[in-house]
Amino acid sequence: MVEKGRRSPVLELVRHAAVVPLPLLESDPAIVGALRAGDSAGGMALYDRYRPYVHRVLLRLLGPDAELTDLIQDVFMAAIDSIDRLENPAALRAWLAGIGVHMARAEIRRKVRSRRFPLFPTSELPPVEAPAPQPEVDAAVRATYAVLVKLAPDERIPFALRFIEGMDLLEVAEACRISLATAKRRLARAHKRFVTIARTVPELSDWLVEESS
Amino acid sequence: MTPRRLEELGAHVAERQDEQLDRSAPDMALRQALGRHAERRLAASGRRSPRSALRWWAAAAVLVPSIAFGLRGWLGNADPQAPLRFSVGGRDGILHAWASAPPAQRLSLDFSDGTRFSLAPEARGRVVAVGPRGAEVVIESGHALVEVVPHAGLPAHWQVRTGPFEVQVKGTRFDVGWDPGTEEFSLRLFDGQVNITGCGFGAGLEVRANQQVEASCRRPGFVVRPLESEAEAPSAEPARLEESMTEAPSTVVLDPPAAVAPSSSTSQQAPSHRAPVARRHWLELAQRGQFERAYAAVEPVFEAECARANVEDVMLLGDAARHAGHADRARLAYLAVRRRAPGSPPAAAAAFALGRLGFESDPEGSSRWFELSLVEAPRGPLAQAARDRLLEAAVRIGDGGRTRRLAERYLRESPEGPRAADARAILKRQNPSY
Repeated sequence: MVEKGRRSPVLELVRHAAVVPLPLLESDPAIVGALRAGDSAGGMALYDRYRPYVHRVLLRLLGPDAELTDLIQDVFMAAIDSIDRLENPAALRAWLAGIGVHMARAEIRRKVRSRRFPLFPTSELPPVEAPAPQPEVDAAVRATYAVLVKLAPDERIPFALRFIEGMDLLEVAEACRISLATAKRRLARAHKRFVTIARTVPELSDWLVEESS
Repeated sequence: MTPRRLEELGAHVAERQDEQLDRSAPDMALRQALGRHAERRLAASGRRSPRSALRWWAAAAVLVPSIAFGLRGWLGNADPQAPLRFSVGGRDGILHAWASAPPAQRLSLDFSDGTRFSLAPEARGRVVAVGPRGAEVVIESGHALVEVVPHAGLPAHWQVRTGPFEVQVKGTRFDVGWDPGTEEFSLRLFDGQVNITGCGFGAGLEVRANQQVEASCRRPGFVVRPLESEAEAPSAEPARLEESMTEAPSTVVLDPPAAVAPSSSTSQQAPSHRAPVARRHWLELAQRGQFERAYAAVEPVFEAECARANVEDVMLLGDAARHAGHADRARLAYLAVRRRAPGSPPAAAAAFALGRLGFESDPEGSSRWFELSLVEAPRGPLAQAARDRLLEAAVRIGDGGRTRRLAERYLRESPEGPRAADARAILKRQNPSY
């Protein structure tokens, strides 16, 4: 029984535990400030707050990709390294999206290069075995990315941001660091090309038909 | 397909992906690493290349279990008198068991209080005793970056033994090295204070932050001089690419004159650590991936460095020359590695590097080097790359029979290798029934 006026040891522990200063960085400017001050809590808070977002943007842009986890890391490392170049700390989210776009574009180009310069001409290679279908990825998703792979990176990226991530035109332009007019032009081109290729993909045939309301 | 249908398709794709995202868990090792990276950002003026991610992830793969171990140890170490626990490369450590870092990677000895001994590639060490506030670690050969976590108000009891030298540690960060071949001891102290005893140090030498010490039992005395720069402190993480450093500071030699001249018996073989700082500057640059600057710094003393630097550094010397576009000098360095450490893993790596050096102009000669590297290290870290290159070289040479034999061998040894599809294509072309 604890005497009146004296705190129980357990309560004392709880009281001390309650005043432990935790690095609660809940706003973008606070995270940016911590990063600029070289505070490790800034790096961890950045990851805590934006891991799902960065992962999502990269997944939208690249689809299922073995390099995704590496790219997530790349985005955060690049963001921490260049945090001094972020002019408006409140725009951290959009800035991260921009870095993600940059990394994804480089990755797409790297893959294109490796396809273009194989050791042997493609005709000499045996047919590539199709990857085993992942049960969680349905046919429409696979087919969509199979079409997107055939688009140029500068068309594919705005397309994925606009139609899959659901960004508005201004956000697309900002993430791609291009003008609004350029974003519109690229989207129009991407739309046209996507539809042309999608017509040859049976899994997308249902989506080509306008549903009657 | 109208924009509305396109948006519906996009929404469908997003929905499926979100289900996948909902199942993804945060990577706590990456989270911790980002925290550390943020902390070091100010100290390191440079930038990490995103393409270093592969190497970095290799380290992260080791760190994940380490951090899990660290948390477990931290939570489990409620008893202040309980000895620390430690892990080696993420696995529970065993007292007195030797740990060797692989040729191209660091190996971490992580203690449950957060202290870390990061063994440089090919370094070898073991933990021989652990207590509640420290441990005794032996570095048998090579370098180790030591980061001791201080605990407020509690004296630490960390001791590092290397060759005949002992380093008493008081909450600090330093790099310690021992070359049993040349009996050279070196220590670079970045933070805190240590006391060194052993050959030549008499009752002991107090070393303070930003000093470096070099000594050998083969000669009297020792050298103490200012650390070149805090920014040059090696990282426990592999391959940090940082921006250029400032010019090397001038050397301040504090040892007695008698200690400066090595004995004649050691002057031919042992690396002289009394080389001017500018000569060692190349190494720091090369370790940061600044090969052109490294080569420019070492160019006037290139051949001397091939003879006196340790084998691992000579390998790096070759890489610096190769990246800087000086193939002849690179060849010189790689051949020096093979001459100085015949039959060793570095010799096999040098053979591979020699093969790669002449790959474009002389695939025939390159093939012999790749074969040699495979003979010397059939399971080494470069073995797969050597097999790939051998097949590529055979295709370039255009010898059908040899290409076929190599393709068959490739599929036997690396059925899932990067060139397995090419090897099958070769066999199929020569024998359609394959």
